[in-house]
This record gives sequence, structure tokens and C-alpha cells, in this order.
Amino acid sequence: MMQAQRLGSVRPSMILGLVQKARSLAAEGKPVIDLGIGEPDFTTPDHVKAAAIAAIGADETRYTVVPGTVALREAIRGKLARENGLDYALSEITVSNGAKQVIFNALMATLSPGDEVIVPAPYWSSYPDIVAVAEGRPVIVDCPQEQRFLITPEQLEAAITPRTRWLLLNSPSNPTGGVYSRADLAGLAAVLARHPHVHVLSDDIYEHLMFDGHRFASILEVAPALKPRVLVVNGVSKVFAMTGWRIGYAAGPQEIVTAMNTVQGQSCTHAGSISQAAAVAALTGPTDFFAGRARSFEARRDIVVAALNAVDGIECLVPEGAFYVYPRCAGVIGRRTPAGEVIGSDTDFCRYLLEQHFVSAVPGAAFGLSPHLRISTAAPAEALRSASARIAGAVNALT
Amino acid sequence: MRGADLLIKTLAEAGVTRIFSLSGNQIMPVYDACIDAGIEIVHTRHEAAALYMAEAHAQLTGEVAVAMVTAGAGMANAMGPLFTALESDTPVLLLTGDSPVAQDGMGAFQEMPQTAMAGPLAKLSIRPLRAADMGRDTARALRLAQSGRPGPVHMALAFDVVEGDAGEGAVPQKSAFAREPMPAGAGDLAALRAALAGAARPVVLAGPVLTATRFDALAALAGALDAPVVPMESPRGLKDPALGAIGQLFASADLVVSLGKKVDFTLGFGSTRLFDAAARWHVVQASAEERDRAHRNLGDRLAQCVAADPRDVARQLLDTGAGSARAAWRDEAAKLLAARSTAEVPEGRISPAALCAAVQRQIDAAPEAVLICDGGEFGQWSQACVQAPARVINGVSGAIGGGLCYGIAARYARPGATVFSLMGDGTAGFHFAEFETAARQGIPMVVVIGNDLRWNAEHQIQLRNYGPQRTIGCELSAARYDLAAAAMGGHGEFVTDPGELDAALARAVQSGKPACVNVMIEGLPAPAGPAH
Repeated sequence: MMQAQRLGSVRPSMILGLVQKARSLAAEGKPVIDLGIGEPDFTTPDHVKAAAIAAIGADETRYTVVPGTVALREAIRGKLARENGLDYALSEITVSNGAKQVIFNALMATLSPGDEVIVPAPYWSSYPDIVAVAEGRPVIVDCPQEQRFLITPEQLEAAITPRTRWLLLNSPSNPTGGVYSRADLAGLAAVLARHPHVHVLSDDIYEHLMFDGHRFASILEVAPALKPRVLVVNGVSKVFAMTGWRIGYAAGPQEIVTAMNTVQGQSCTHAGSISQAAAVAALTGPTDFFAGRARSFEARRDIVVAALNAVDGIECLVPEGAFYVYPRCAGVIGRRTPAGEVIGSDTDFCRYLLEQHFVSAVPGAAFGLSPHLRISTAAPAEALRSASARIAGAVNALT
Repeated sequence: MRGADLLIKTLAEAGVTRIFSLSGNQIMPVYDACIDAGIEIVHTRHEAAALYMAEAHAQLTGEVAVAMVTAGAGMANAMGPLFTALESDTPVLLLTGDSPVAQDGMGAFQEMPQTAMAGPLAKLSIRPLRAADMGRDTARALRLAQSGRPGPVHMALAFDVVEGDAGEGAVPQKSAFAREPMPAGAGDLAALRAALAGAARPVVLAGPVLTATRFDALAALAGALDAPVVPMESPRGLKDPALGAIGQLFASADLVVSLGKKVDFTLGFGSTRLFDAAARWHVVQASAEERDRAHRNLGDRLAQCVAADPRDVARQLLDTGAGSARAAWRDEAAKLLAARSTAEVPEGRISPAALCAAVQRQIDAAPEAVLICDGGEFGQWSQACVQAPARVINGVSGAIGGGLCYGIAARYARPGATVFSLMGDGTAGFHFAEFETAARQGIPMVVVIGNDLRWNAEHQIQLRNYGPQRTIGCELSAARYDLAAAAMGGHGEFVTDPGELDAALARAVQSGKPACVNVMIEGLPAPAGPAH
């Protein structure tokens, strides 16, 4: 067996498995509405595309420095200062192939075998797997719907041990769209102040997709003293619709960033040179389209939340950001499909939705908290209405 | 007057008071000439040791140092350190005995193509053919050794030339052997200053001639330029653990100024993987070969290439007065360069870091100290963890083994200083017999052997590249180097307990002898700067 032992606890991506199934059904001509993948349905802005084409024409095709070009790190520094009031030196910033690679580098660089990472559930499905590859131990803390899927200060205090290295915070959240308010973050910061050995990885990737007038806040805004222990992670994938360009970045303590660059230097070397040039244009160019994109997702959220809350057996919190809805489907567990199969879990429910009603959603099991399902609202409004109606029909057909 | 007398009188006129040497029949006339000229001969147990001593002496005094060895294998033995002095930009004059000119081609005893052998390893290799020319040729050698890019010069002393009548030959006037300054022209200087003024994150890289030991105004230069000035003289280049996270510094720089720093393997050949592609380079090199190398490796990124002596340009730049707008950048650079990471060791064992800290305590207590760092892995530890106002290291050539010799020379160069020479157990073996030289000459010094019972640098390479099951040929025995040093007239200390370190080192300092402190340490890899 060629597989390394360290992959033993790493799960194949459930999300990608369902996406594959959805595509197979679509290829058979079934009218699948795919709400599984977390990718915005906008396009990369024209000025960003133009910058990439210009970079190709200027032969910016050679190796760049490992942490990312000076121009891009300057752009990131400018963005962090301008939008977040944060001041970082260039050597405290690193660029990787997507925020996922950034997180991978951070954990590979800082975890020794057995080190613990607190992962509030529901979580972005890759967090615990990346911790496992880095030979750390994910400490899953269940954060149910009743507490808005957010970790509480009491839960954080209870989860911290001498082996704790990181707390992973993701706000707005994938999969829930939940947002930590300034008060929520202040409560967590007070706990962290008592445990100086714990660092925070603040995954801010959905920062610009906030709804209902809420303003994004990072933990560093409420507790600037935590700066030596916080790694701010972000990227251009979501609001700029640049998922395929693979540019993510982090800003944080020099020692950690340097160690991350060491990992990167011996893995992928650096993010693509053309993508880096495009990202410079994104981060230094116009941002007036952000509000429009956020409003679009907000409107689509409203469609799905209203429709699902009308379904007996499904309860849906109103997400405050990102482009996901994470309804609880406890009311369908134990019921039977028209074919007589028992819905024993959210996974069973999602399989039923896909195979019988051609709606692809991701079960809560993939995100560590069941029974839920994640619906991506990155689809046309009409598709979301149709999908919601099919879900309602699917639930009504259960006995 | 013999050719030998003219040679020695010229050296004396140039201020030479000491020659490091190992005797041989071809150079006996020169030995004889030294008596009347009052030039001291410090004679060693190996020819390479003599040239290593000259190298350290030159670095610590700023003057050309002289080594003299005999012909044949004696001359060949000095070729390794000749390369070392070339790479460290050190002005030394290597005199080698040689077979007579009159017997060239006849198969004379130890007839050897000396200038062909030494030529590629020195700035100049000559073989005077007439005794009367010894003054002129010696002056030329001294002048060339210290001018432009300083380096070694070799002179082969044919026996019939040193024995022959110098006749009309005379000692040249002082100006004949003085250094020839090569300052930058006004236009070049203005362009360099303008580039520095326009940069947000400049970094100035200084070559071996501009280390803190060899250039007395390094801090002033950094202040005048409002830029970090980083001397680089280690064969590990970016991976020098004494330079912390220097790779991060390079990746953020928007301007790179090289003052005599070769754009070679130590800088990743200036690759855009290490230096941002948009960063511009300004290179100051006295050597045409190094200017060509900069052009080749940097291409269009080389904005300016100045034919000048970096030492002179550094002095010219001292009145730049760039202000302090880049204080934050300089602070960032200082933090990056200071970054270190170290490993834990089992309790009761002595870590390389703990040994270095104990040596540092002795250095800090000494009124004046010189630090010698030699060796592979432990040599890197000492470079990273120990500081002293004056330092000589086994430099860019990557040779090891000269540390004992450097230490002896350091005491001659700085008679009031306490000399600490740190090395691994492998390194100590190259010139161990020089303990006898030091004892015979009455040279006190403290040689600290970080003993991990192996050639640890190579052992670490094997572990990394081939795995722990495939280590071979790197183990050394637990030989008692301290006892051997004591048997040669020195002082010995053997330390296995961390609690004994301070007392053992103190006794070594107080012994007044060449002391060997043999310390059993945990064989760890050198402290990897976080960027390694």
C-alpha cells in the first residue's frame, strides 16, 4: 500500500463526491439543479482579466519570489490598511495558491504531532482534514443552531488545553453564513487573553459578502493586542469571482509567515505569476461592484430562507453573510421516502433530494454538524425558487 | 646583497614584521636574511597552517600578511588556503621556495610549474628571474594584493635568484607598495545615491572586505544610507544561520546595492525566485570578472555596474545623509536578520546553543576578544549564536580546519585580546599539531571543540537525503583532544556536564596557554534560520 499513514484520517471530499454524482445525472439528461459547490456565479472583472493578459504579453512568466511579488504584497498591505485598519510589513504577508493553500501552509508550518486545533462545527469541510495531514488533532466543538452556529466563550475556554495551538475562526461562515459580531469577538478575545499560547487563524474569505447592513469585523478590530497571535487569511476568490485563479494570502507574525514560506518554498514555490498580476489589479482597482454582488446574494438568500421555512420539517436561520443557507432537517429524519427507504441522516436526505428530485445539496455531515444541509445560493434566482419548490415537494412526499 | 636580502628589506620597508612559515632548504637564504632585518618567523607544523595564519592576520590588521613555504609538496600544501584567501578577498603574499632558474627543464629537485598551479588561485603568480628585480617585484606583489579586490599574490623564489647578487637592485620607495585607491566617479556616485533615495526598501549587501571586523564604519554607513547593510562572508549564503530570515528580506527589497558582494551562489545567483523581479541592482566591484558575473546573472535587472573599490565607495557614501524615513524598514530588516530557531536536547546533555552561550559569557567578560568560527555544523552554531567585536570565520571557500591557525594569528594581530576559537571535532583534526606551535610560541588562546563524535555537517546531509539507515563514513571516535593538547604543552579541559561549562572555560582563559576545551555536545543540525 503506497498511501502514507498520515492520510489515514483524511476523508475524501464528500462535497466533490456529490458534485460528481450531480454531474453524472445531468449528463444523463436529468434536470439537476446543482446547489452543491461554493463558487460565485459572477465573472472575474474585466480590468482584472486585462491585467492578466498584459502580464502574459509582458512575459511575466518566470519564477517569482516565494512569498509573492512585491507589487502584490504591497497591494495586500494597502487593502488591509484601507479596509481593515491593519498595518503589516511586507515580510509579514505571504501569497499562496488560494486561501486553502495558505491554511495548509500555516498548519504544516506550526503543528507538531498531537498539537490541537479548535475547530467550531459546523466548519468548512477541509479544516479538520488539513489539521490531520499536518499531524495535528482537530478538537471539534459543536455549535448548534440555537447559538447561531457560533462558538461561545464558555465553549472556547473548555476546549483549550496546553496542547492547543490554533483556534480556527471563519466569519462570515462557510457553510452557515453566520457572522461573529463585535460583541461575540470581544467575548472570545477575553478568553484568548488568558491563554497566550493559543493563536487565531481568522479566515475572512467572505468578508465583502455581508447582508442586512452588517459591517465586517475581525477579531483584531476588537482586540488589537492579539495581533502577535493572529493570522489573517483572505483571498480574491469570492467577491472578485476568481476561484480558478488560485490566489489567497495571509498576514501575520513574521515568524509564522516565514515558516509558511519555508513550507511553500518546498512545495509549490509560489502562486502563478499571471494570477498574481491579476490579483494586483483586483486589490488596487475599483470595488464599487462589491455592494451589488452582496445585495444579489442577499436577495437570493431571502428566496431560499422564506421558501424552506415554509416546509414542515425544515428550519432555516437567516444567514448574515456569504452565499450559503444551512437549514436544519431534523424533521425529516426517521421518515420514509415513497420508495420505502428510511431517511436516517442528512446524508440520506441529500441523496434522496438528488436522486429523486434532482436537487444537489451537501449534507451537514460534511461540515461536522447534522442533521443539516448546505445550499449554495450562487445560482440564478429562478433556479433557487425551483430548487426550493422541489425540496418542499420532496419533504411533503415523505411519510 | 643577495636577492633574499633585497626581498626582506623591501618587506621590512613595507612594514612587515612577521612571516608565517614552515622551513625548507630552498628558503634558507630568506630565513637568514630575516635575522638582520629583525623580521620574526612564526614557524608552523604544516604549510597550509602558515597561510591560514597569514589570512587571519591580514583580516584583523588590515595589512598584507606574508606566508613563506618551501618548494615541491610544501608549495602544493599551501594551495588550499590560497583558494580560501582568494574567496575571502584577503591580501596575503605567499612566498614559495623554488628550484633554480638555471636548471629549468633539466629535472631539478622539486622542479614544479608553480606559477601554473598558483596562477588560477591568486590575483597574480610570478617568478622573478633576477635577484635585482626582487625589490620591484615584491613591491608589485604587495601593491596588487591590497588594491582593487584584495586577494592573495604568489611569488616563487627560485633558489639561484634568492642566493644571487642583487647588484643594482634597490628597495622601492613607499608609494610603490601602497594600495591604489579606486573611488567611484562623481557621476556614478550621484546615480547610486539617487537610486537609494528613490527606494522604499533598499538593501545593501557588503562583501567580505566590508565586514564589521574589516571595516570600521559599517553602522555609520547604514545610518548614512538609511538602509540595512548586510555583510555576507559565509559559504552558506542565504542559509547562514547568523543571517536569520534574510530570504524574507531579499524578497521584499525594491533595490539591491552590492558593495563588493559577488552575485554568486550565496545570493542564489540573483535569481527572481529570491529577489523580486522588479527590484533593480547596483553593483560596485573592483574586479572585472565579478562585474561580468553580475551582468551575466542579473541581465536587465542590473541598473548600474561600477568599476570601483567597494571600500572606497563605502567611505564616499558615508556623507550621504539619507535621513531616517526608512526607519521602519530598517527595523523590519533587523528583526528578520535576528530571527533564530533552535531545538531542545535531552536533559543532562549539552546543546550547541548552551555551549555557545557559555562562550559568550566569557567573551563578554574579556576586556578585548576575538572570535574564530570554524567548521561545518558547529561552526554554523558559533556563527549564529556568538558575537564578538572582531571575528574571523572559515569563509566563502567552504574550507574547514584553519580555525586553530586563525586563533594563533589573531593573538599576534591583537596582542591584548582573549582569543576564542570554536570548531567541531572533525575540524579540530586538520591542524591539531599547531597546538605545539602555539605552546612553543607562548600563545594563549581558548580552543573550544563542540564534540559530537562525527563529521556532523555531512552526517546531517546523509540523514536528510538518504535517511537514518544509510549513514556512512562520518563517525569519529571519542579521542581525548584535551589530553593531546596538554601533551603538546597546552591546557586541557574535558566537559560532559552542562554544570561544568562555565568553570572549565574560565580555567581555560586563566591558564595563559593554548587551551583545548573538549565539550561533548548533542549533535544537532545548525540552527535553521526560519527561511531555510
